[in-house]
Amino acid sequence: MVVGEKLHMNRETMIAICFGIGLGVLVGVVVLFQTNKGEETKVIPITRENDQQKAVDEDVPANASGTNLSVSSPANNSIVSKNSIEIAGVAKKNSLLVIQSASAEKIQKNENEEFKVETPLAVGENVIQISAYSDSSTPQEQTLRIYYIPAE
Amino acid sequence: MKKYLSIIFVLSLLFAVTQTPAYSQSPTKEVSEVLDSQVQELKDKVAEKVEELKERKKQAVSGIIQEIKNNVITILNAENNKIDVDVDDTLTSYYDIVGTKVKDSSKDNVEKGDYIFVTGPEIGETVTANEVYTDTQYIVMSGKITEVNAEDFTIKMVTIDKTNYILDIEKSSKRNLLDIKTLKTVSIGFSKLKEGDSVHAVVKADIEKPDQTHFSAIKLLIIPNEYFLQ
Repeated sequence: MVVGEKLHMNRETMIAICFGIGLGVLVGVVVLFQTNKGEETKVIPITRENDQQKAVDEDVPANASGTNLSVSSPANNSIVSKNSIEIAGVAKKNSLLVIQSASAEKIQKNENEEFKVETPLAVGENVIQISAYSDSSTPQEQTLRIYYIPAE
Repeated sequence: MKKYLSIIFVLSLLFAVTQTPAYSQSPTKEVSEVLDSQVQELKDKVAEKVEELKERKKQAVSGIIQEIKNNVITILNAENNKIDVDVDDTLTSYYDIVGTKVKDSSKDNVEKGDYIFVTGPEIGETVTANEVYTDTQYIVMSGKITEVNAEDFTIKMVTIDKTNYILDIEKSSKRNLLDIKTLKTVSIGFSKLKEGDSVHAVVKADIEKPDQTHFSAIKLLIIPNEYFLQ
């Protein structure tokens, strides 16, 4: 009789333990879910915002203003200490690019929209005219003044 | 019954307390890592901006000297804006650009009508000169040939902004024509110049004649009209 009562009690204790663990797991899962939810609202949107901004920047072409030529570098009036400079920018695909200065003359067909042209510089001021002929014989032009001062 | 309920309560409490930190620590660490990377990204951006501003400061202004008064040189730049250049007897250095050389010069050699470019910090319309260089002014222009005169070896051209120029074609003038098939340039004689072709020219400016429209051509690049008819 006593043994039967003890067995019954042990079984009930075991059930209680299992039930307790189960409830604990449930509480743990709820807490974990809440934590992850908090992280998502606090941290991830910052990253997503940046990503979205980057995606927007990538979608907008450099010559979105409607012009056929846009020179991104070098900046006008720059001083450099090298005897050449890379002129980079965007022009309409298949346009004829003409880069001319007192010391340089470069002509190339713009296979892609982006272009990079290494241009020699003379000591002192270099007035460089970049022209892009696309659909007509009237080019789009941009003039840069670059100052080459050799390092001593 | 009370006893069992107590066991359930204590166990569930214990399990929840012991499990929760274990789960929540990991996201905290991730949050910290994300924040670290964002801080690093921000630092990189600040460093990049500082470098960009430094590069921007490495700029010069150029123009023809209009007036030299005490320690201020007033120049007129290509956009017809007047810029005051503050010079200092001890701090400002003077140089001449002669061909491919930079030669030492002095303030006494700088006079009204000279073409100079100046380096130094710019605040508003005033530049505090670190270095003043006397140089030759070149003009690069482009347009269409409107007339070829074989008697006096000149061409007339009109630019996009409708300005008309006369260019003397000297023996020393470098003349190149674009081969429309190869896109290479070939050297040509005067007889190959013709009306309607596009022309890119480099000329030396005469500082004493700011409104001149007649120049001696240093180099010409001709793009035949046929290129645009292809």
